[in-house]
Amino acid sequence: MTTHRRLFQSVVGSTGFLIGLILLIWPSGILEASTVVRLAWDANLESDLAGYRIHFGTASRSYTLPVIDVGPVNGYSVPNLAANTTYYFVVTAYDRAGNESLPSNEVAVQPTVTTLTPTISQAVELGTGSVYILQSGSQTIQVNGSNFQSGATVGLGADISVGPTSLMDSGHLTASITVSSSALLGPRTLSVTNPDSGMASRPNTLTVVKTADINRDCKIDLFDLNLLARAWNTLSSDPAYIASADLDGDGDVGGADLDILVSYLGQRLAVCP
Amino acid sequence: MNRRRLLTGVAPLGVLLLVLGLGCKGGKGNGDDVMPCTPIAFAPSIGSPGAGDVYLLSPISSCDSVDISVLVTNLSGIFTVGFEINYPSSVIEYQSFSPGPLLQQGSPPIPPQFFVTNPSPGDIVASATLFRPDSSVSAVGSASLITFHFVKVASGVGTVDFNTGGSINNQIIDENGSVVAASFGPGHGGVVQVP
Repeated sequence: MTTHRRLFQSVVGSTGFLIGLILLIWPSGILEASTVVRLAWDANLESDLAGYRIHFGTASRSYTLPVIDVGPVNGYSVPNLAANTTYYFVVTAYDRAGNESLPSNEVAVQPTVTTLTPTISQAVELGTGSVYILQSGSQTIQVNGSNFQSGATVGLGADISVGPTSLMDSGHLTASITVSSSALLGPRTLSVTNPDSGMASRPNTLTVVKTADINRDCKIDLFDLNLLARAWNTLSSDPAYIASADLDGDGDVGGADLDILVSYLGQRLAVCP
Repeated sequence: MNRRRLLTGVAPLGVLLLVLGLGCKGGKGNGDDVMPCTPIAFAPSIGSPGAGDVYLLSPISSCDSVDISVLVTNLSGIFTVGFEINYPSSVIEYQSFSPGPLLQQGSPPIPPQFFVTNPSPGDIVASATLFRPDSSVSAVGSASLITFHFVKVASGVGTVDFNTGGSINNQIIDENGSVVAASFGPGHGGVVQVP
């Protein structure tokens, strides 16, 4: 989030003291256009030193912006600079009699606003903690990762509508989703796009499966478990095969389907399939 | 010099340990004695279970733990089972479960599966099922479906019973998808007393 660039040069001022100007730069905020530049310099050791002045502008050797008299300190943060604009700085020292040194070396900097790329490490359906999202379902997902911003949007494909996200912190956001009844079964790529256009995507993050409410009574309960168990180990060509119990749609009713159902067992559906 | 100082420091410690050791020995003086304690007690609510009753019973307990089993009496058509149990989490804590022999009768080719969660302290949600092509089983007399293992948390008394308003219905379903006439109560739990 914070970028530092350090530049150090020394010059001998006209009054004979050494000024070394150090530039430390960082954006003041990800979304803010203005930045802060931190300047630092070596102390002048003359006994009659009164202070320092910062001269700066947007053209080299043309310090047209208002001079900043910072007093007898050895560093200063210059605020409210525009991002993506090159600034040129020099520092002078002055004594109690009002004599001012020649300027220090000039340092130039172009503050840039850094876009932090989000990352996605994992996503789960919040009610079950599983990676399965159900056709015909209205569910809430949680996405884990980093650098998420307020107002980020989540995508899971055209047949899954995703509502506004809620940012828990920069590493966690939640969103309600509605999966259409005809949504394609299988793993989905999940994408997160921040308001500053930083984007991340991760394939195979969530998997669309048939609703675990096999008997369509709006509850995922023992009757659904019983139906799946009665269709156990059947292929789509078997008379005992129950297509709605083949939750992953792979043509047989087996352990993967049982895993999906058990993760939802006991849930009442917000929307009946 | 250092060694001598260390030795003089150890000697009083040795005497102290000896004194403490003698203080722990019992009458036999062989060091194998255990402190007497009162086992955790579970008093089942049901007196004599009838056909179709599903109830709780404790087959074994100790001073620090208690097992509570779910038994089924004289019932046929058992294929899929589910129930929820509440227990007093202030006195006992759920640890684990062991499948009972009921669903494993005849060693079915596809072993029955048990799904047990402890979504919050004081709440156990359990379900189990056989799988096609295995058939339903019958409980002749009282047969154990599953046993839950609890450990002591603190002294106290509380009720362990089936929860009729839980996330999953207390039910037994047969291999055709029909609900079997099983009764989970009320009054099929019991009272656990932790000394």
